[in-house]
Amino acid sequence: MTVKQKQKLGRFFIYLVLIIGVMLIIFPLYVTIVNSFKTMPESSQSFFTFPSGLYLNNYQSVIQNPKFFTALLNTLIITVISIGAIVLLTPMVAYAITKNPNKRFFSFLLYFITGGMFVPFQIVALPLAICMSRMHLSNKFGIIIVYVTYAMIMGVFLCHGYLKTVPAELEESAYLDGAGRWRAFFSIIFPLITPIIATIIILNFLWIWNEFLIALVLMTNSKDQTLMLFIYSFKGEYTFEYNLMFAAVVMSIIPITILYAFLQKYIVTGLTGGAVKT
Amino acid sequence: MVKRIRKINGYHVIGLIALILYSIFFVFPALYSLFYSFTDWNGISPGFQFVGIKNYQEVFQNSRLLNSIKITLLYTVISVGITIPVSIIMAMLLNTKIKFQNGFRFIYFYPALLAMLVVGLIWNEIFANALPALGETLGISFLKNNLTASADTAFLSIIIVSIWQNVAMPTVLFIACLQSIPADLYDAAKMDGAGPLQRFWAVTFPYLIPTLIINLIKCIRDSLVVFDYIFAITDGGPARATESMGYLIYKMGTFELSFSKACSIAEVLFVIILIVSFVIMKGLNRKGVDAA
Repeated sequence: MTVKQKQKLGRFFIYLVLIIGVMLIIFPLYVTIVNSFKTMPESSQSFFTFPSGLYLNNYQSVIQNPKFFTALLNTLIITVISIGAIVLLTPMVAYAITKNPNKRFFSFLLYFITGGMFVPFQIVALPLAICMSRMHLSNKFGIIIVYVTYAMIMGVFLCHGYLKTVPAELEESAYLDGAGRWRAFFSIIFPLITPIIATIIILNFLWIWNEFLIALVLMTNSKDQTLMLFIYSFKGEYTFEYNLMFAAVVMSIIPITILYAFLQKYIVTGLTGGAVKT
Repeated sequence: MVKRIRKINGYHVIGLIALILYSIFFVFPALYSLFYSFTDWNGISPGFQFVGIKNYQEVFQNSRLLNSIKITLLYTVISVGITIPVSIIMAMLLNTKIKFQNGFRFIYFYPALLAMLVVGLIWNEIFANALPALGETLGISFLKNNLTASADTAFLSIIIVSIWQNVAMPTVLFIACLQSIPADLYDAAKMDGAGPLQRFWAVTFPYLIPTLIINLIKCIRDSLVVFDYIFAITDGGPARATESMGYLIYKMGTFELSFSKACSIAEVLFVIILIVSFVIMKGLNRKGVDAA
């Protein structure tokens, strides 16, 4: 075999492995989508084929379920408000720590908060549920506070690592112009650290949108149900109506898929930037 | 006194806000859990008594709790042991000059966007409907029964689901890392007559180590606390074959009125995570090339 033939064979195997991988990834998604357009009898007859017609009743009955809209709205509200608060609070905390490297309070704060990375959520989940219900915070407001607090653990770590690379002279010129501490931060530092802010937004968006365990133990009231709790409810209530569940699943992953399709480059660089830089 | 107050500035205010939030909503529940792990509180009764380390003794004596530790560790070793090598291989393939590189990367990363719960529920139906039908048509007797329904294969089904989703994220991180390796290093190695495998161990691997540490810790941590897949697919069954620590903590703390025991299992899980994280950081840190 010549070198060229060898190279060709090598490339053939690369494509072969990659395409097998793609098929393995797409298979469950394909099954989900085609069966969300089928009736139960059609699904049980042929699970893999394309739907025979455009049967939209699954989607219709999910959308007409008032619980679906409550859940969608709750998830949207919780995600948007949490992300907004996280983007504001996390960099400010990290900035306060970076600006006071020799003060005991701030170095304690850094280790105290980032140490949370080693604590599994299972340790906190059940006691948290009890504490929150005693404080009457087993609701949307309460879960937002919890998400914002837990986002600090990773967020402060990432932001602090990134802020250390920003030269201090930059905001000193702003002080000379008479700007206050936080004004200097928001007008000069904040724009410089947008890459790490993007990382934080993406990580937390995916986490909060998809989060299940915290919502499961906190959201005892059905009016606070999130999208994940709604999707899970199909498993119990309608054990065999997986077509409906598939329709709900498809609708829950559409927003993330659209965002990903448009922002793939930013999402991937954002995620890798955060992990590779630190 | 006045001077002291003046010293308090905006940094202190924001630091205090962070401290208070973190203490109330994270540290307090964590300590609460530690405290109750030394009691016999069941979660709803008005009173409780201190029982010392009785709950912890039980963790290492009760066969059900030991079983959950065994399952959790086995799951972690197998799942991570397959996920990480596969994602390194996939990252290297996706980093070669191929057509539709972006398209491939788009698809390979996609599972990382989905909720673990949703992935679990989708696969639950695949195990129930798709795979048996596939086994029927292709004549593979292994697939003819629902994998999740038998105690022998349910564990395998959870592993399959975890690998399907968990390869995505490390792959993307490894790709970013591979791109940072200077190409002339490969040329130099080639000139010295190093084969592909030698090139991998001598050039690629040292550069991968910092990313490998991050991926390993994250993957191991996520696997040790596995909950969503089990909640969505097997509910810990059949015959406790998939009852992981993460699932058992939830189940005992909520449905079985054993709050204090659940807390003690959680603390054991915490110690396992601490030990594993430190071992990895200490063990691998020395060998790496600092790519940054």
